[in-house]
Amino acid sequence: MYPPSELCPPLDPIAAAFFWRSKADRLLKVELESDSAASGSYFPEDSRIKSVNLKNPQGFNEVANDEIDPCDKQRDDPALVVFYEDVVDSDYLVEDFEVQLTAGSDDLLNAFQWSKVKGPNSGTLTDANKSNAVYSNPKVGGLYQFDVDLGNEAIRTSLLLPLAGADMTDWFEAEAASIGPWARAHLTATEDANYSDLPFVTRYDVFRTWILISGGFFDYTLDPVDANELSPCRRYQSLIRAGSEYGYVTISGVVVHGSKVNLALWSLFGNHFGYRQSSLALGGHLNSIITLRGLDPVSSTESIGLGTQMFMFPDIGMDDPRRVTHLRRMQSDEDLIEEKLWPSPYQMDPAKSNMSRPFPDLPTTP
Amino acid sequence: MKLLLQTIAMFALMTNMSFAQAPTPTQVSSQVSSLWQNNQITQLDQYITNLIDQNPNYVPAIVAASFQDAIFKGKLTSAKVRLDSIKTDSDANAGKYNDDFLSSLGGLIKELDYEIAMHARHGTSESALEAKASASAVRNAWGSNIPQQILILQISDAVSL
Repeated sequence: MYPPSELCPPLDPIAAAFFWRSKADRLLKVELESDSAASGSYFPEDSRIKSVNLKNPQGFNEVANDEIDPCDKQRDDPALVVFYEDVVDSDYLVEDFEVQLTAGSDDLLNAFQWSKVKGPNSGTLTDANKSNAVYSNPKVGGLYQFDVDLGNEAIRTSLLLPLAGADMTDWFEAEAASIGPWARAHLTATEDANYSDLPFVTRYDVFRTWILISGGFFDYTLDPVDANELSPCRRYQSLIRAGSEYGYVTISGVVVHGSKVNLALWSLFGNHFGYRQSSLALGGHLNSIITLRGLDPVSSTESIGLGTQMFMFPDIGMDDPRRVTHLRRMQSDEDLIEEKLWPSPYQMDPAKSNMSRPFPDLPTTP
Repeated sequence: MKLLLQTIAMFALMTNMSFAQAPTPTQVSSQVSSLWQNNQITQLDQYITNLIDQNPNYVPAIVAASFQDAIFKGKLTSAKVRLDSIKTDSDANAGKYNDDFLSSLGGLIKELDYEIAMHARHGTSESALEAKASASAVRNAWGSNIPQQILILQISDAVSL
């Protein structure tokens, strides 16, 4: 080993690695930036999601490794974030936008090599062999990661278009089709359990049982996940579990909060139970239930309307434009982030998902 | 003296109900709801009887009489026939009835269908229902909650068949 001098760096390899890394830290700037990206202290409209500080441009300094995941709630990995509502037009088509990938310093002359290492097959990386590269027009939501090669190591950067839960359209259609027989069987069981030969006494006890079901028992668990677990981005998802704890899901390319899906299925069940949309929406008891769910009246009404629509027109598929329009009307920006999240392009995998009906044994007496 | 005259007038109103002009749906709704909630079953029965006798084609009276047929007399088929007559009239006269009323009317007809089928499924004949009918017993079961058959009166139209 040669003795160090003031002019020559030490040649011990470990010390050399630390030396060059420290030089890189002082000199190198790795950033992603975009006119379409979010910035600022971001407190999501949904208070159940931990707030995040978004930056634009966003700097990166972590050596590339596959553990880096801005969607992992347990980590605090940075990402340049682009929300869906900021890049779609009035027809919900994703507009063109660019992301600038920058690696540079004041005195290093060598360019760096950019490469896309992860993400959907959407968008174009140009000028990859330059310090300033461009990623253009990603149209699909998800996590895109780009490494910039420094020669002895690479820095990983993340562009995040946060995904809602996996597409559950097929599950939703199948469940809607099966609710009719389930509801009618339960109605019969409830009538039998409460039968009276006085007119409308049985019907009243059936109604009271329906109130009980609605208030305390009708809660699906809806957590659709695709086979590769790319959606949802958990960092932007509420904790999902039984007992009215919902997240965001994708149906026919539209992101809706799970509570609204539950409400639509409840409405469909209620229609088969014998209650019309008017009584479901306007009944005094039922209104209080809706209030307890914390949904705004407009999206609640739309969710109930979807249930009645599915009851009256069961043959219309969820991909029908009428259904898609209805799903969009269920969105709201008041307390939720439905319009910010990207619809997942991936079908849910039943083996990875947690989709379960309300309490398996709904009550039959009030 | 004044109090005596007022009492006589009220008694006449309750038992005779000489409707020089048919009461408005709001008036019918208010009266029926009040009597039901106050558990004045006999008075309610009499009020509806007078109402339909004097206004046999008046829609709010027909709706109230349907309620009476079902709850007081156990005559479910007769109750449904009354509502069906309104539905038939609405089918023949587009725009005559408001949409909310028609939606609720459809719901009530469906309720009666359910009720008729359910009792049949349990082997209870309509004559058995009639023999057992007791509006007081139904009122006791419902408490002061107002059934849909009364709520619909609030939104019915002041028209005749």
